[in-house]
Amino acid sequence: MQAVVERKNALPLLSNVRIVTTENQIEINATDLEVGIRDRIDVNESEGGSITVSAKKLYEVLKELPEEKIRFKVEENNWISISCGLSNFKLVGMSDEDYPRLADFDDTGFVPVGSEVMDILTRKSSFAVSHDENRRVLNGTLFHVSKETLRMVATDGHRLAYVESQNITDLPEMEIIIPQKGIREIQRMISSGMEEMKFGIMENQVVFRVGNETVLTRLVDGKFPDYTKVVPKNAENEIKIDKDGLYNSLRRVSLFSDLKVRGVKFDVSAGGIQISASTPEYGEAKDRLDIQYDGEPFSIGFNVNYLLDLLRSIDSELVVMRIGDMSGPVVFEPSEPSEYKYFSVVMPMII
Amino acid sequence: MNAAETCKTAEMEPRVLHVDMDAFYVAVELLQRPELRGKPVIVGARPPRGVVSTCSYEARKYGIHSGMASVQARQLCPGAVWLDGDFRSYSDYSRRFIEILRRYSPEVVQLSIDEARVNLTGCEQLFGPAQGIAHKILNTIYRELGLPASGGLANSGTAAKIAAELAKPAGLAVILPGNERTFLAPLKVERIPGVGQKSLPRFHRYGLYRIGDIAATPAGELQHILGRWAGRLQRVARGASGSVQRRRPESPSRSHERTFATDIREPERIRREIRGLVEKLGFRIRREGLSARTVSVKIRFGDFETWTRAESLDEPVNTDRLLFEVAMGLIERHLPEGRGVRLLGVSVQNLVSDCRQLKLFGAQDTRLSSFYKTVDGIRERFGSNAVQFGGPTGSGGTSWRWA
Repeated sequence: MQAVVERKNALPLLSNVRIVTTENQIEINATDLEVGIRDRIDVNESEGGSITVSAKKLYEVLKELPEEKIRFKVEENNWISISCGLSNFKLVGMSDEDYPRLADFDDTGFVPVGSEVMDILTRKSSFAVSHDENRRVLNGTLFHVSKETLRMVATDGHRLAYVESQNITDLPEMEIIIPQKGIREIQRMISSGMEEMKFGIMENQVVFRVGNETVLTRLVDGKFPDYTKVVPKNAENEIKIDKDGLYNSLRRVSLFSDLKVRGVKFDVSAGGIQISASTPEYGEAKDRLDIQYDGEPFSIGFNVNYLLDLLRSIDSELVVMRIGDMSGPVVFEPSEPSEYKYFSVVMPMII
Repeated sequence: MNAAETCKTAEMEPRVLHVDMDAFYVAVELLQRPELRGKPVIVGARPPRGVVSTCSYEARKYGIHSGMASVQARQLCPGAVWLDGDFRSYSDYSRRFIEILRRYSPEVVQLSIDEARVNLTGCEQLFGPAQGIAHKILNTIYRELGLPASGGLANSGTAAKIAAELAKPAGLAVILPGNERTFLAPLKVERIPGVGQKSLPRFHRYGLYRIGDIAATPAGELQHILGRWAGRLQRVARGASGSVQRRRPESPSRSHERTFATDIREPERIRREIRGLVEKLGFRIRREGLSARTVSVKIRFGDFETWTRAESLDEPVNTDRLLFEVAMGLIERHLPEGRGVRLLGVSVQNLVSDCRQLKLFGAQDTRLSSFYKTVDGIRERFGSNAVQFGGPTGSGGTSWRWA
């Protein structure tokens, strides 16, 4: 809940959570107007009522309390008292009159979507999302269902991650963009339990539900760039590299790559690759790796962070790098096909 | 076997080899046109334009040298063969030359297109005595590339360079350990790299004609004559050993400045001077593959008051146009109108590698960088004046003037 509340304090009320109680249930809401969370907890005895309170303070208090029964009471002037054993707290609350209401809905129209599928697809794609707030469309992950295939694609304009899962029969065909914050909430929800996840779509919002918890996410408005165009079709040079070897080598060399630019250079020749980086202030690093390649030698540069990110998403022992035009996109993919088709496209860097 | 594993540099007397290709451009041309062998050959802009880039030893006999105006060279030797220069093939041979050096030592510092310094310290265990390695390197260069090179072997980079000059053409000069001071003593001071026409009168005024004179002068006195330079020069002259240091230690800035014979004040003249400095600076950092996040200007007024003003940028720059815009912007904001200026300088700091991330979607802006590659190629061949920005006095802000 803490992660969702508005941190920039444009609307102070949004740094609070809303607590609504009914006879034997508490419902907690948090929202920043983009993403909303609703969690329902069964409780022993309760009276009807509602209040909002600072998410941060409430979280801090609850974290410190012992594992005992907690009493929660709204007093006059929106004060909230919390008692647990011999500990007593009084928190300043606020009326929920102006607190934005999350859309309410029942389970109709919801379809199941595998938690594992969502877990893997979001993990393998979301690292490529753009953090540039001026590029709203790229701040989200494309969630594209067609012909029983779910694809998730993310790009920041320099690199792109693509992952798909087939035999998705329950989801209707759609093409939506889920903002990064929503993706993070989905991942958090999955990590707290691998129960079945349900998926629903309402107007401009997408809803994921696991157990009693619901995450609503406003969709990013706009057209996702045509990713099929940037996947090179004539990438004929194919290089196979030991994935862990490459990862470790890049980590070492990256110590000498410029902190802002992050450039590393690949000098590829038949059977071997030299990876190097240098900074005017600190010096240089070089590393060599054996590769499976028998074509002409060439050199190419990359942002080392992009490569490290994508390698973490590849499960096979070898990674395949496919290159066509030397200043065109380069494809990285696992050498062995798996249940989830995955590839990443990275634009080179002129070094 | 990996040379790096066997070369130990700690506590050993340094052995540094300076390798210099003989009449490099001409030698490469002769490989392609052997019929010109034995004739005076000049690479450079044909008269009446430009200067001599390099010339064969036959042409040197007529008194022609690099940097001489082409017109003068033609007068000295009307029968010389003029070649335009094929820079691509020169840099290709240069790369192969450096590759040969790297086989013998992990520490190779390229000093220019045809010069490099190799640290042979400790490599004896692997390849035998340093002198033998030096011979082997020069022979390998000749055997594999067909190009003659000269070498100097000494205990420091500077001494090695001086020795290499003496060995030319196609020779190897070795300064045996312990003999450095006696070897250098009878040589003229202008043999020391960096001592040129400008500084020579100062040496002569104080009676410093031979390197031995520098060695014999008390340090304090030399300091008085030569300023900060004194310590380094005296170490060289006394034969102190040095490492294969980069010519430019990893300094975080590059700068160019110019002192004027008489104070300047006209805005147009100031613009022109800044443009000239920026072109030199831009050429240099682009060739080093760098881009600058900070640009500064230095202004020294007629009364020696000196100002420095800097601007930091979000996006690193290395094009002449952007460097000029930033530098000129600083001048316009800070320079009081009409005050006489004695010196102008432009420098860049916060240097980063000039890497440009290409974009997945949309057009790439590679046009500008290939443009500068062309311009720098021309400047490298024919000197920095070969191509210049057109000024407002010319035919317009973006046009080019060919000199």
